[in-house]
Amino acid sequence: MNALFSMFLERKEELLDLFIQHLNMTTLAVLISLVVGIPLGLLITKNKPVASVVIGIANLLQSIPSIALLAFMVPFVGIGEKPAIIMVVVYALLPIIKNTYTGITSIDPGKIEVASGIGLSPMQRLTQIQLPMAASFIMAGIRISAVTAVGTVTIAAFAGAGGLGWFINLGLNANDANLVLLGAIPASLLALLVDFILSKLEKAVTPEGLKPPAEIVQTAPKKAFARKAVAFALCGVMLAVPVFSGVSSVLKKQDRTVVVGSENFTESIILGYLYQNMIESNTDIHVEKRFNLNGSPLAFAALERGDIDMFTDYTGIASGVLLKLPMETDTKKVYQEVKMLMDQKHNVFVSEPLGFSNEYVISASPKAAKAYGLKALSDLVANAPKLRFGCTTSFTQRKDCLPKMESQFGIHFKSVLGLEGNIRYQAIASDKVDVTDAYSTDAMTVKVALVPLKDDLGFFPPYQAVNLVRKDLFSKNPEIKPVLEKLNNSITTKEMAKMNYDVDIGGKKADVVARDFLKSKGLIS
Amino acid sequence: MVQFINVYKSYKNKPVLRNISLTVKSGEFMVLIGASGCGKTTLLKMINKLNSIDRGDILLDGTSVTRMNDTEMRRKIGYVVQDGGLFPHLTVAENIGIVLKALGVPKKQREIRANKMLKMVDLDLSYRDLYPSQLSGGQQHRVGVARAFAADPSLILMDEPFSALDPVVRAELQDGLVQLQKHYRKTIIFVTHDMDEAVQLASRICIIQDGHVAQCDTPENIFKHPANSYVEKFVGPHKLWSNPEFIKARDIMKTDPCRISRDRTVLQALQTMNRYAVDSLLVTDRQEIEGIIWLSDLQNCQNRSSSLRNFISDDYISVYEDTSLKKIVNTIDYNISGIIPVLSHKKQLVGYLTKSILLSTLSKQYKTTTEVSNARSGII
Repeated sequence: MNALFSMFLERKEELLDLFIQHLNMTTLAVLISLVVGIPLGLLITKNKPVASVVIGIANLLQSIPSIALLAFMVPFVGIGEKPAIIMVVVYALLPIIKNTYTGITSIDPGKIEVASGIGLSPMQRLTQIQLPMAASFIMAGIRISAVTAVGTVTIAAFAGAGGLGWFINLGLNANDANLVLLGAIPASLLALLVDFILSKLEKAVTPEGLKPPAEIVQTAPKKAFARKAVAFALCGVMLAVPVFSGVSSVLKKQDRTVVVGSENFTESIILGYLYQNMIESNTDIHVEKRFNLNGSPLAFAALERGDIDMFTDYTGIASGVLLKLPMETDTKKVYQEVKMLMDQKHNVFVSEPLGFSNEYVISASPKAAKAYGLKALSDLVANAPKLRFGCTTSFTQRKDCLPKMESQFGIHFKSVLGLEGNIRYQAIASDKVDVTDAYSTDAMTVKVALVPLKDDLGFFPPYQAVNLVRKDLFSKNPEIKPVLEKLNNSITTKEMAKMNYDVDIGGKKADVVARDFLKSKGLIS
Repeated sequence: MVQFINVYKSYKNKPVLRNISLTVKSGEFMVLIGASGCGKTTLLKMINKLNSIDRGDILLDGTSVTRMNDTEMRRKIGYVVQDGGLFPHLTVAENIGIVLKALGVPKKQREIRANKMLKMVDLDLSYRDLYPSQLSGGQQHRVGVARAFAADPSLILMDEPFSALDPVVRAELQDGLVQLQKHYRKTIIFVTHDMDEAVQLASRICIIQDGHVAQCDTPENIFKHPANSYVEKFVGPHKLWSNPEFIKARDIMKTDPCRISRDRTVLQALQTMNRYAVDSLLVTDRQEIEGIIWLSDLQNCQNRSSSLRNFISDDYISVYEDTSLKKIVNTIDYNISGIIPVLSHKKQLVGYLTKSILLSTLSKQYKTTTEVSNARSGII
């Protein structure tokens, strides 16, 4: 609890920024859902078959996993707030459409006929009879949507949109419950706040006469007006924050901006900060961060679309995943192929290697290594049927990883467990698995004291870190190229592992770790 | 004035209204009545265009409704429906003022009007800020009526407005409505399936049978001269007798009373009385009545050849031919009156009534056609 509080004090400015970002995205998404959902809900009340189709589609959209929806949209709409907001809108629409539809159709048709019969125009019927009578239904839908949206927006961090999901994601990477809470608690509080404000609004818009006779309170018009004014004012504040920050961000916008991207794991984020600090300290160009993108393909799609100008990736991934080249284990050859093809086919400049590699290193728990005499991959192959293998899900899926291991050596582990990120280190530390797919620069390998198995079979491709940059960045900002080049061949695997350790285990901020490193190398002052 | 001209409508190829032609005059209280599904409500809703007209036309003060803007014409027509049709989210005052609001009347004036309307329908002003769910059924209907009158329309349509109420409240509202209609001289077209209600309210009743007009006339004429067996059945066998105000003296009187000239003698009068077994004779001059000779007055007379002139009595009650049975029964003293002369408005003698005629008339309402007793003697 103390740790959480001191973390809060340390990061409170960042937290406020993320909170406002979060609120902005939520409000904007809910507003869009309202503008789309309510008219749509009203429109479909005219036609039952259309209504069931529209509600069916909204239901279907709701059932798509949010992270899949987000990944699916990036190639079309890019990264950042746009796909995040679209995703939230998709989820927020259903309750609004459905409740609007139900609210309107549940009104006694006789009342509507009377409204027509006494001479109300269709517009007057809508505004004076239908909407007030359906108001509590519609508001309930908006409330569900808005509260859900606060939760869904946390996923936005995976598309580089920031928000409180950023802390949650950092915390998950670093296996740091406090950091997760630092994102999750404000998100829950925001959800409660939104729910509270909207419940006031719901009360304000629900006509007194629709309550059961015993609950009707005869309030003086002035008092009722005051109560309504308060509810609307609260909503106004909720709207004002996004509007204000939107306007101020437009005013702040500078024309010379470079967007640095990163993927959603600690090392990539540290590298993002390294480049940010290099550029900002050595040029007068403003850097916008689009960190935490969910995986290499997504980040690369963002690079190609121009949503980001650069991000750091690994030659093995660029070759096998991005360029889909056949498997190759020769370090030099892989680098040259990647550099050439990126240049020719994608207009992307590949920097010289940064110095370190982040390879797969199959690692065993000290206990298993001792028991079976595991030192190299060949030992693993020989003992596989006795070993429990716990690895990332991508390792079980990628053709150059576990499937290749099984087909090439004909091995079968005693059991295979697909685990994410740092959970596999917990699993190996608590003796649930014997062997895992560690990365050479992982902080956790140091903490858990895993035994790395040497790749004596030439099984894994090289994973040299390189910086991928849009070529048009250099033509627009020629002075940036020498600055970026200063990081080439400047980070050793050990140094990188140390930085990862400082963030994941040491609990330092990635930004601080990156700056300290650059200072120690004399690259910034 | 509302004119229906050959109005025809069908649902799914089944005719609902077959060429209805009907004129409702200004200030008239017209009740449309018929069994459920006969098309009466359909017809009513055609006036304010809630239902479309397939063929034919409806004219309001000479202009076809098809040429009028839906919304604008409806604002000029009051409309009351079965459950009052109040909007639950609006207060009583707001409900009453809603048409005025649509017409753009400022709030202040709407409130003044709402207060006036509440007074008109006998509701206390304290109801104005209540919601419909806080009112009783009868109160809701009063507000519904108030709303229909609020914009001061000359025509008001009422679709079975009181059918869901208990008889006591209904009777109260019916009385109130009749008074309002008379006082404000509105044209009201009122749909019901209840003949008693129709009789209470209507200046004319239009009986609709299977989409056509079976008979359209005053309640009295419908009772007395049903156009066909359907109307007769619909009206019911006892309706006339349970509404004694529709039975007039001329309907039950006997003609050819026993008359005598004042120039005759007492003896001749006694002989006439004896022959016809009556206790009184009417003295007439041409068709005008001069008085009555009572048997009791002659019995003590010694000189039987004296002239009748001295015995002519004006101790009798006469009635006009259109005086209602109800009034006769209420005013006649059975112990005194024997014969009751029936006069035209020109004071001409047209017939007479006796106690026994009244008795037999009144007893008819308890007799049905099926159970006529054949017994001629004994105790019943």
